Amino acid sequence: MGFDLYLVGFRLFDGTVILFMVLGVLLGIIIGALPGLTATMGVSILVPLTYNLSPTAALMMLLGIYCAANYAGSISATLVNIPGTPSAVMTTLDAYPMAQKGQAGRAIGLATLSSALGGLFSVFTLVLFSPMIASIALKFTSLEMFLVALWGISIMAYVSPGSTLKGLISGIFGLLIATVGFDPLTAAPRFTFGSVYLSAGVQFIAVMIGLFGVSEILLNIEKNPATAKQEIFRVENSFESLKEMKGLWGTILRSSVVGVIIGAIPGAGGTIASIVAYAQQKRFSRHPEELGKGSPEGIAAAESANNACTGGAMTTLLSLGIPGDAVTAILIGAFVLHGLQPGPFLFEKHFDLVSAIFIGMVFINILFFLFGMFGAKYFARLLFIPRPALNTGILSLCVIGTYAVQSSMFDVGVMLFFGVLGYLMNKQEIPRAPLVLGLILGPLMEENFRRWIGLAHGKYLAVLWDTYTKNPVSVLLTILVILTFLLPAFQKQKRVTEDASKYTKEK
Amino acid sequence: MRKDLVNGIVGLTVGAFAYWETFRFDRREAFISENPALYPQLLSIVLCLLSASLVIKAIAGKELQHIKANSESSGIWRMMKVVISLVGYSVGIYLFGFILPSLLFMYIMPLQLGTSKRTALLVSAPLTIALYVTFFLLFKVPIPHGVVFG
Repeated sequence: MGFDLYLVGFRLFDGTVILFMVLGVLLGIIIGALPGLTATMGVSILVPLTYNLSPTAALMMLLGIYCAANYAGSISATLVNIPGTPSAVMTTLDAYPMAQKGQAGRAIGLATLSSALGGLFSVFTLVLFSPMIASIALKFTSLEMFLVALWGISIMAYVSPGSTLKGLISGIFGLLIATVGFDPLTAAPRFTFGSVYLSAGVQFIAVMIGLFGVSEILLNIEKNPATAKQEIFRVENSFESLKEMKGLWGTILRSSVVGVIIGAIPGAGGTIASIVAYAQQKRFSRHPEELGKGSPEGIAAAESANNACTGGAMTTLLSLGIPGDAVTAILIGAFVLHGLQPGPFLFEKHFDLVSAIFIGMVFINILFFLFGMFGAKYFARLLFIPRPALNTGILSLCVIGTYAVQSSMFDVGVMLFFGVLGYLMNKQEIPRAPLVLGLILGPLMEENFRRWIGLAHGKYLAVLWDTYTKNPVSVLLTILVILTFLLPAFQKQKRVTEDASKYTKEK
Repeated sequence: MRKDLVNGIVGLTVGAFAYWETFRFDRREAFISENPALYPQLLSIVLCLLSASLVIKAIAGKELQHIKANSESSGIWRMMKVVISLVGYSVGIYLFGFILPSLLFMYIMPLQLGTSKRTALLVSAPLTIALYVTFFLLFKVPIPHGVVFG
């Protein structure tokens, strides 16, 4: 691969790709700035729009939404004390008090620059580590690929808010849904109940839109019917904050490392990263007593960590095909929609696209920095949009978007079903992300599982022993999977994720 | 009744039903790896085991969360109305295509959610046009034409 991996992608950039990348960043800022709309929801409901675009344009737009929405959660966190996205929850602690002192522009400036630097640092680690991990993963046997996918689902269940057991149930249910339709090996119908519509399986885009789009809106509507009049601070010059960066480099670097590592753990995501980075900042800061009272260090730690997660999550997605968070789980769906399968083979078969993703992510971080610094005061006006109108528009987008993928009203029905199911799952405190991951990784897991069974020719234990003695990676992966399944039995409390969910709910 | 008891029972029912259903799969395979029921059967067993653990945990009282009225009934009713409207909207676009049902939906839904008639009237047409332009003109994505207007 060599140095080409970092340059060859430029060939794929044309006017259309750049246009959709810019559009993605703008949409991402809008989605992130509006409380109640998350990057997960934004990416899931906008995937169908990319159906007719080239894979590069589509992925640039979706990555633009992902990265920019992660950042833009800080806008409403600063101006109305409500995190626009869950990952901005720790930003509110310092950004809002700073805004109360009449320094909203300073807070947004600090958040913008820290987010962009965290994001750029994570892209650096992405380009450095993902080819290495992919080259190792290329040597994986079918058993190892199966174990990697299973570990991805189990770890996502473990780190999702709420009980791990319920996360695992959600993941297994997703795997079971993935078996609906014709069996890929024998073409025997499975769980189709005689329906022609189910023969091709359950459309994962419809499931994603239902679980993350419709159900979120239903929850928003249940909580808050109409626009509550709220005081929104005026955004003055954000550029003044640039002068403060000199004293924040250490904080940003440390928090970015935390963000990248947590981002690479399947299912962990930006909320946990920002909480961990903030706690770490409290330990390392020379003025820990100022954190929570409008400290620039608090904003820099939380924002650089949550944006650094994007590169971490993309590292496992591109190199192993295992998403780092809910948004990257949906991005797998977008890859599949365009005939691509993320994972080690992507580096072999679509070398140029991987390179374009690296380059695109650098530009996306620069773009949202520019839009954020120059346009924060305009984006702040989005907070005046009447919520009923916004929710209605999104619901219509969900219906039309689902229909657009296969021109199928059956898919719309599936989307509505999963919308209500997602709402009920939320009420029952069952995480939704493992279900989507199970649905997406299901075919890969089944294929590798059955291939391994086929190769074993009935001598399962002998082949298993042979694999374990020859390959330490299999042993490591098996231990990881067993540990993740057994952990709930020994664990009293999941501190980080429960703290995060508790705080998000309070907000 | 405990929340997780319900979750566990639902999981057990789904797992058991899926396991039972796998016996109806066509199995004329020569090798075990070609058995289309093998993998779903394993998954249903795991689902049943996990759900049974949840039931046991709930009965043993390890999960302390009880079903409580954490949502106001007005909120649930509002949500139900939205779901019914969404079903109506979906049927509407299947029959009459995108434009007419969307105009109606974009007017009725904000009203249901608490906006004034004036605001609902003001947002209805611009939202419909914005979606039409976005889907049809910008992204060239097909929109439903409806069986009535074909």
